[in-house]
Amino acid sequence: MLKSLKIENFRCFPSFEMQNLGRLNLIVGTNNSGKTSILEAVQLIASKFNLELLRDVMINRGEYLLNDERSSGSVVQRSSRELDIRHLFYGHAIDVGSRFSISGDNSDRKEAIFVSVENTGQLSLFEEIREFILSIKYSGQENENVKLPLSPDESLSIDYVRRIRRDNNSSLKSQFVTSSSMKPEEMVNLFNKFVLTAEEDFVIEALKTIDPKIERIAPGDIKYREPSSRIGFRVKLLDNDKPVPIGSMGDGIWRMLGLALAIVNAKNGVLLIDEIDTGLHFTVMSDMWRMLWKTAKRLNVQIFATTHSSDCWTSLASIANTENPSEDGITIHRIEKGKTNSIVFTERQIAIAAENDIEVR
Amino acid sequence: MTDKVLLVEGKDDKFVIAELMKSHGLNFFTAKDIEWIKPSNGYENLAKEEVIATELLASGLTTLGIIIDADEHPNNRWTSIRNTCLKSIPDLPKDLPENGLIWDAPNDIKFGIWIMPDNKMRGMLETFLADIIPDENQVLWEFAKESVQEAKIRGSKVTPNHIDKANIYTWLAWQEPSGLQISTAVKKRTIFDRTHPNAQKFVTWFKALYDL
Repeated sequence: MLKSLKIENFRCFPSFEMQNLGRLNLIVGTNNSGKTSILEAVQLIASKFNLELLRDVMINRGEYLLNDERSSGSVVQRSSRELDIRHLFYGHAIDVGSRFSISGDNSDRKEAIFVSVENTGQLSLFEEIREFILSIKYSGQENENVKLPLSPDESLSIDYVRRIRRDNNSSLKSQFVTSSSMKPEEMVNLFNKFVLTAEEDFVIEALKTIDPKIERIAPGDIKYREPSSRIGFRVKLLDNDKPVPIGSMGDGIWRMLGLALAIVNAKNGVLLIDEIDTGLHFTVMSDMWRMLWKTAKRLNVQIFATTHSSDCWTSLASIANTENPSEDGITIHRIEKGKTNSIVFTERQIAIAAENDIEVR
Repeated sequence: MTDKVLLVEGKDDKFVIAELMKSHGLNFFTAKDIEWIKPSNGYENLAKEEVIATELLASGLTTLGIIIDADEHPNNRWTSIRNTCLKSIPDLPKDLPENGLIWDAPNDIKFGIWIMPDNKMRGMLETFLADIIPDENQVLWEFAKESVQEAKIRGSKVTPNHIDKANIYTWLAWQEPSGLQISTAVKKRTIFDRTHPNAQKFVTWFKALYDL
């Protein structure tokens, strides 16, 4: 489990450190303080800078260029995407020597990722053409070093992501849940991984916290692919003989199902949830926390979540154990622009803050 | 989210201090304006190390103040509250200044302590109020005190440390209207004079701490 995290020159952070991390960490702070970037940093170090995950994150943020490959007839043969990696660096600009790092203290070891921009070392015919290499070094249990050439636009072609598919056995599983819902196919795929296993029960338990009448769910057909629809599952309710499409039930069920599938899929790894309160009424938040906490302990998952919501963090206080706060317990970290350290609230302090009307965000 | 917070022992303290300072520049028109003055349920509940530590972590906080009663042993009270705050503010001075404490706490927070009535003597809020009874009402006030002493002779069970309260509430019973709460009474210049010189030290401390 990550005990502390240090970021240098990554995204909006010239230098930033988070210490006293627990099993469940809620990150709060104003808009633009960098909360989502912290989730990304955790995912990068947990996955040992998995390029596929990085690609997903950057495409979500629109940080890519389209490179049209034209044949001699100037007809576009294909468009390939290039990741505009300058946005990973503080200041959104890169040059020779630019570098960022993400390092962390795990329970049993230190790990670090160093990403830097280097010259190719080849002599270039024209001095104005800059040819860079992205150098990615991982140091931890093993050491790894990857060098990837950057395009003339100083970005990274997605082809490299496909080509360099690392052996993922040694890195931690991680699941990133964004504030927008998962696509129905993703949900169905995830569910099918756990169906008929013990983990399926966890998923049903999670849904029961929103609606106790839910008995079972099963994936169905996905014929019509509307991007924002809630389809693909049917739900068996206690008081109804006929199964009900999950879309007939509220948005909360869909969101909860997504969270449940995500945490089960992050067993022994890391779960990252951006804007965790999305789609959930304050009355179910305590139950959501209870479900996540119970499952995190059982499946050995470390959770990092962000929120703006007052109800969200005060309901976390309801599961904070003030009598016997654990070492790998619950924390709230506030990010303040300009401060190089997060402000930490321990489990006990979370309960005190909720009780005494003290603003943690 | 509030930039200033004041911890006091009880609701009476909260409203008396708010009314007192209203005539000295404090913005107070509705209950919402003074949500930042937080009453605990007595000293024991206020002086909790973890609570004060957490208050100091609040988002946007610039000033934290504490007002407590000396009760019977002012030195012990000071030691006690100092110890409670020491973990969060390790360089707190050993002695409480006569004009009240204003101190630079970590994270650029202004921190202050005032021990009623005057950072020196035994007593409580009511002791402080006794000192700001207007001169033109001293005769009746003297009589109130004498009456309480007489009542003790005749069987009143008021303990010595509560004599200040008995005096004040007797005094209030004889005002017009009779039986006002101290927080309301403090609004009436004939009962308690908020501009009285004896209030000056406290007012100065408060204004300096909260930049009024």
